[in-house]
Amino acid sequence: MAENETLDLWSPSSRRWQQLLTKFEDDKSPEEIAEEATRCLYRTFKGLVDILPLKDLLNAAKRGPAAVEAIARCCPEAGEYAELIAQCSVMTSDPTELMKNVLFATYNRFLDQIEMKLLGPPPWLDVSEFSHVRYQVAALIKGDVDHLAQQVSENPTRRPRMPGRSLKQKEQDQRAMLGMSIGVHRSGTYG
Amino acid sequence: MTKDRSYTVEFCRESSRLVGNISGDTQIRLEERFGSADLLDVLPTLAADLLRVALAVYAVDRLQRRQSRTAGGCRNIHLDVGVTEPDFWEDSATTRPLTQALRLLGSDEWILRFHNVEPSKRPLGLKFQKNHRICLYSTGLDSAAGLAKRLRDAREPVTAVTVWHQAHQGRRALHQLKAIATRYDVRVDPVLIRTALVKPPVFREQERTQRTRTFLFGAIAGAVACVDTASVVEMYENGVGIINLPLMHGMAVGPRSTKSSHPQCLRLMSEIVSRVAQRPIEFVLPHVERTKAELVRTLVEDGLVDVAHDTVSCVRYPVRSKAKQCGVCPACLGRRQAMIVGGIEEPSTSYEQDLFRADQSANEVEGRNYDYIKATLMHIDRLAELEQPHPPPWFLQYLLGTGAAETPDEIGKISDLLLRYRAEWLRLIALCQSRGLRWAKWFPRIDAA
Repeated sequence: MAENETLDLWSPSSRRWQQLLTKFEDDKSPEEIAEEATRCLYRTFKGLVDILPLKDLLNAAKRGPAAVEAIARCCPEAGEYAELIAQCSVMTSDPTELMKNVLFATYNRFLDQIEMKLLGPPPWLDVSEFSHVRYQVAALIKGDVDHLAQQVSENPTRRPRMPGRSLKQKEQDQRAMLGMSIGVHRSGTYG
Repeated sequence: MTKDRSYTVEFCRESSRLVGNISGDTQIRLEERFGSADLLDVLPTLAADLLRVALAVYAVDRLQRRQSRTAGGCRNIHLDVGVTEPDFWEDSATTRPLTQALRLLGSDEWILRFHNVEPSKRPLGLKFQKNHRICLYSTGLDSAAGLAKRLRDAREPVTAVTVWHQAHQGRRALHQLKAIATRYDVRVDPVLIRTALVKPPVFREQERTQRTRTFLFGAIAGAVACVDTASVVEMYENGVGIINLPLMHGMAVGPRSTKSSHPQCLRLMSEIVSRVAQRPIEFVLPHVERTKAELVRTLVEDGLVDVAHDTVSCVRYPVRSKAKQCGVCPACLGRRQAMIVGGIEEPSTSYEQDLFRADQSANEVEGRNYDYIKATLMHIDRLAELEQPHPPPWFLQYLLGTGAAETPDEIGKISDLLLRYRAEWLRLIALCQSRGLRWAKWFPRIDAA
């Protein structure tokens, strides 16, 4: 059975986003962080395909935000994402543009929680340092976000395909995920 | 998953009380306490129905806990209320704005049904003051400063409705209103209405967001307006609080964002109350273009600093300490910012935790108590994007999505307001940086000059 998906960094379904937090903690380069952020978005939406009626939501967007909201109310396993799509549908009804907005909104939601957690001690001494990297990463992932948005909007019932990864990279990811799953509980903050 | 629950609420009169029986021994009560003698007797039937509906909604909102966050925390609530005019309440012209307002406030789907009950047999009496202006008065800082500003600008009598739901709120309301009325030499008629959930489940089993509380307050003020000759109900919230731009991305998702004085919500309240009164009654926000600190300056300039000290803002009030206000919740932070920028000093004992003290004790605050000041710093940093020629997408999405603004002119005014608010915070952060406060260093160095 598919796991429920939330926008909460500290929920079990968001372990992949906790890996992104680790990249920030370790002060990795914007390029490395962008790579991880892209992976997070792909995996999140790969998981969402099974539990979120993306096709219905994107079609409803053509009838207006109220129609999207009506469907969003009936999405028990990914209600927060459905709500997010409803909110983003205010700006556009075009499925690809809508998906781009949803993807960046998802990115921003998790980045805010990561910033809340890390702000203060080195290397994230102040908000502007974090914002600077955040905008750099957003610019770096733009191409992949566009590609993912196109995939989802054209085939909303099919799992999006991740960008190609080397075998070495796959092993590294698996090790990191294993570390997350057995790691001690991290007390987080949620606004 | 959103779980459907059904409730039936039956009301009866017990002397000066309106009592709604919900389930088991749990009741919702409304009681006339001051200035509203015989309110329940003089109410037109539809206005009395409005109170029944609002009380039932508020009670059930507290009784049905939201399900998991995964489902967005939204609920489907079936509510059947006994009213004297069920045909009126089942008319789509009434249910549409009603369910829309409730959905906006709490992101819940309310399935409302109404059944017929006999109207009260008690005779009508008309002992009410007749004022053209009514305001909701919460005893908070915005209420006090907002009323002062209104009376300074136009010295017309006003009926101030306080829905008493907090410890000592009645005393505070009477004290503050007397001081403000004396200062401006104008008649202010207080109306105190007490509401209480009687024999509720233990607090941890209740829904704590209480998003429909605004609807209850609005309905009570609307009911008073039906008896009075008022065509306007004023709410004294500052513009930043009205717009309530989320501190963090995504906080606007579902019921986690409060829309208690949101313009769209007030438009719907106006529609409902006007239908009930069968004449136009409008809920207005006179201070939508002002920051809290700008309102507070009225209290300073007009010698009402004591009133400011008497107000309460904390969402956790009363905390179990001498201070009563926590000092770290969003409401406390907004209050501290407005008081300091507005020029009012507060005793060091006013808050359980003091993030703004000039001495190093402010740096002893620990852990999660920094959450909201962190979120505020991130918010203030992000507001710099409003200085760009084009508003950022997240800003437009929020304003258009919630109906807070619809035209470029409205968007421009909100941008200006938020940039003034940002400038106020920058001055405060600079001050706190000069005091060596730990949290202030999480913002880039600001030149105090």
